[in-house]
Amino acid sequence: MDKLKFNQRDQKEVISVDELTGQTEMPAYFNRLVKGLAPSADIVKKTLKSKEKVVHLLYLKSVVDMAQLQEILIKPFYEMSQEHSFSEYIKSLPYDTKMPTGDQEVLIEITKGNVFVMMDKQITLLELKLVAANTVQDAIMEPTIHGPQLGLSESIETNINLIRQRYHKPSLVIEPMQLNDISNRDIALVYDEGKVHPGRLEKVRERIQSLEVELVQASGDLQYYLNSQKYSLFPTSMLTERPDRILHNVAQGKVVIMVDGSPHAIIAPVVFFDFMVSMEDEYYPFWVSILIRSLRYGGLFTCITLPALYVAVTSYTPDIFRTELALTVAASRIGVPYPSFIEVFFMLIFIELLTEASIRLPNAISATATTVGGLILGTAAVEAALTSNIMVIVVSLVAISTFVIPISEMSYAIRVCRFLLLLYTTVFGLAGALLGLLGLMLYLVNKDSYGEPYLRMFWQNRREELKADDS
Amino acid sequence: MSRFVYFLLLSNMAANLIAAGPRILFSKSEDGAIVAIIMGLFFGVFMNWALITSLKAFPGKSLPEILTQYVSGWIKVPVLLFLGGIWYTAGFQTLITYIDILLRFLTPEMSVYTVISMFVIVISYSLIMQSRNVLYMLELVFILFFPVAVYYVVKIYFAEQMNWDYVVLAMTYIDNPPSYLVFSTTAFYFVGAFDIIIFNSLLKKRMKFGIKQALIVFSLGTFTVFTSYFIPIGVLGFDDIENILYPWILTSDSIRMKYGVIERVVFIFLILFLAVAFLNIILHWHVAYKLFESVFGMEKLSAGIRKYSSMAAVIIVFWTAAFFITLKVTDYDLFLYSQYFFQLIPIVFVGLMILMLLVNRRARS
Repeated sequence: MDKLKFNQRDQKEVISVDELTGQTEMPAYFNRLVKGLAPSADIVKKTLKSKEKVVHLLYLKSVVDMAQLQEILIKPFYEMSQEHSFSEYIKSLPYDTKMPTGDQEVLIEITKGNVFVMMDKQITLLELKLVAANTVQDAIMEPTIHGPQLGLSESIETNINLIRQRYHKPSLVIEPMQLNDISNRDIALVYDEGKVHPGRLEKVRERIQSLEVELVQASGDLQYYLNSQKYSLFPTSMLTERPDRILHNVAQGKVVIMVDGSPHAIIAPVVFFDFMVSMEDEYYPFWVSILIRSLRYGGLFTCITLPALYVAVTSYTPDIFRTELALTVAASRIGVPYPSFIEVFFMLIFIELLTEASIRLPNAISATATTVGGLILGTAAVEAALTSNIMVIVVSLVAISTFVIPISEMSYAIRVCRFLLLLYTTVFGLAGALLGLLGLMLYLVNKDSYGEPYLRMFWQNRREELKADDS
Repeated sequence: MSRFVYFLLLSNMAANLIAAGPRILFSKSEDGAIVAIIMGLFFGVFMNWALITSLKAFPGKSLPEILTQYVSGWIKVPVLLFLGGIWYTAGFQTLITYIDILLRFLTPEMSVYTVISMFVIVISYSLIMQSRNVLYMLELVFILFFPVAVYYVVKIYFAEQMNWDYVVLAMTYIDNPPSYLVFSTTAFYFVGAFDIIIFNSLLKKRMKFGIKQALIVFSLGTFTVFTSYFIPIGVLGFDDIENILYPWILTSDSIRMKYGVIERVVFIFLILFLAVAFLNIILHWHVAYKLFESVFGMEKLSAGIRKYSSMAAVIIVFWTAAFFITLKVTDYDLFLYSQYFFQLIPIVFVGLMILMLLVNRRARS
């Protein structure tokens, strides 16, 4: 495996080409490359000529930074007198890329924004890329009060820069990889060599190399393709836009996959508990973060079980509550014309619709939608005796506690689980609710993410326990 | 000892509270229970010691692997089949008891078929899980339900209804000659650790069973047996305790939480012990499944379809038997067969230890 570091590229290679036939005529190799790119409109082939030297340039003007090209290549060409010194000058430029073997690969490099420079027998690729999308964006998906406010950008180089800037360690490896899709997108694995579990890293690598997909557009669909099972409910890798989360995970020995053109990075392998961590936990005092964390787990438990418990208690086992409470619940259901599970399904679907609507709508309207949906419709439904007061409380509580889960992929999975559990409870009652919950835990415990057990407790050091498993 | 061994031990001890264990103890409360319980406790610790010691030489190997290596197929196959049957019965006994409890106390309006099918999906999935993950599940459930269990135990020990005079009265029967039935029932509280004949393949570290471990096992066992025998006597009285079908449910139902959302403690008991029973069933049946699997050489099959079909076959066999017997068995039968089963346990244990002694000698030479 050639572990290349992006900013320590190999020395350029010099490949000898056909003998030049004439000074002004283009060399055969050069012509071949031009033919490979034709008939695109943005190809530029240029010949710089002075008394004793000729330099051929080939690039795509849409992806090359013209100002830099002018400053670095064209100006010095006419200012230098000796041919020898100009070729030395080009050799010494820090912009050169490793020259690949094979025409096709050279063409790919040119489309990425490299300038092909040919001078007698010496050929070089200079990386004078023009990246339009390298501005760092605000963290939108996972905002925090404390901690960094900016997320990643859409350019892989900028993202790597963001990581390097925060993690100064020679053991941080950035391993470029090429996907076998039609867009030849750059992706990179980022990990700390000293901390990463070699087996897991190998699994991630294998999974990426064995991918057979037409086109990868962003981290999101790459994450989907990386999933080993097609119909998996829970995510086995995590999408993030926060550099601090990336570093937090790199320091734990995980692998980060970056895709060029996507402002999200994929973290793998991840376990269940990683999805319950907000980066903010790290920035608060100990007791505060303990409180927040327990609130979050409480919210998780509530939003999975509460609808199921409502059905179990109202329709199956009302005597589990103390008498006063059981009577209150029963009284609130007076006039509701259907069994509790229809009521719960109806209200849950309603709240899901509301959530979806408020995500998709523009900000200005979404506030109105939630007000109309939540307040007016909720009150009206109770007054029309289509649902009970307590059901409205249950549904709002469920909706709120779903938002407590910090990573949205997990909260989507939990939303599905809630319905499954509700279904199981509808059929089997209170005992079914508990057994369904245990079954859900079984499913999670039996799952693994790139060989790492998804849901397990650790008493000692996590790494030590995992090592003991593997030996 | 690995922490998982303690979990296995504890889960079996706890599961015995709902099964026939306490009822058998009470049935002999006036003839020889106390002495037999004490003897059973020591025997239980001895059983654990003997088991761990005999497996010491084979870290990371399960019993089928050990037997394949050191004894001929003529001994291995019947032994594993027999043990598989024992483990199946152990899990089944818990299942059938809990189904009965559900039908009586939690979901009386449901049909027995519905109640069994409730378990089918979840438990079948646990059978085909990786063994490693069964242990993680055990640990997870323990951690989640531990606070509830502590609350329950504290509540029941400090209940107003608890009358320690009855406990003292029960203790006065210490001079009776011991009963073998009580002895073997007490010993059964300790057999949880025997699940490691399969799970040993996951415990790579060499296990130690010294004085400290013996003390822990002894105190766990003493606490459980003491609780399961004396608390119902203290709450319900000594005289008629042997006539009660589910002494623990009655005990829990005598106590209430004045300020709780749930007023009757019995619901805490039912929820807590649904989890415990569930764990107990998946552990025992997983072991039984693995034992049967090793007999039929199913782990050698590489093709996915063949493997899945054999797993399906086992699940069908497991569940057909379970459905059939659950429908047939009455409370009286269950009590009777449980007694036979418990009485068999010390004998099986002695046989297994003789076999392990033989294997150990062969391994050494």
